[in-house]
Amino acid sequence: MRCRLSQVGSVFVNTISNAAILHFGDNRDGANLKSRVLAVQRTLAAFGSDEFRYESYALFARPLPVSPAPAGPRAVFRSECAPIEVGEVNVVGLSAGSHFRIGCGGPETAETRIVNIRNALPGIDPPVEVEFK
Amino acid sequence: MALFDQMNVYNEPVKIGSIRILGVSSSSSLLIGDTQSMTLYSYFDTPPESVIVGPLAPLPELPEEGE
Repeated sequence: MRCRLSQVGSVFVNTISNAAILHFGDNRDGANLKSRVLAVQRTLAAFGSDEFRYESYALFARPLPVSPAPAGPRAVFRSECAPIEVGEVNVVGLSAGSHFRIGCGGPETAETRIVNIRNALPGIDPPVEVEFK
Repeated sequence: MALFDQMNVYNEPVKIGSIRILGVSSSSSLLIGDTQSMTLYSYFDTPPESVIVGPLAPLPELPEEGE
């Protein structure tokens, strides 16, 4: 991919977290983003299960879908160093394997897997009795 | 014989005034520029026994039986 000249006036990004990238300019090798999130908020006890490992959930063992081969004729891209001019960018948040780039490059690969278990029932006591000694 | 043996793509200058975005998340991409390939995955798996912790939308009252 040929280079480009990127000119940016002002950029405001409040938060970048969880394998996110903010990138200005060109990139030759691309980006590979991964983010695995396992959020558990329990009120109901789940004894007997190892629920804090990625291996305990089939979602993290699920094979990634494979993109089909590009069909059609061969594509040739020409940039001729055409400039990119950006005036103002205002982003509140970049998160969970997301990517923001001004420039050219690639290939881009991102993967995010989230398991979010929430059993917090307001106003309901847990059905497990705990004896405090 | 193929009609087209090669496709030529000319990336011309890009000029952007202002962009306002609330959030980019879960294997999403905001790209001002060029790329030849982009592969993005995102899974979200919530077990059926879970509940959403937060404000609930008000539901209408059920009609009384016998009406």
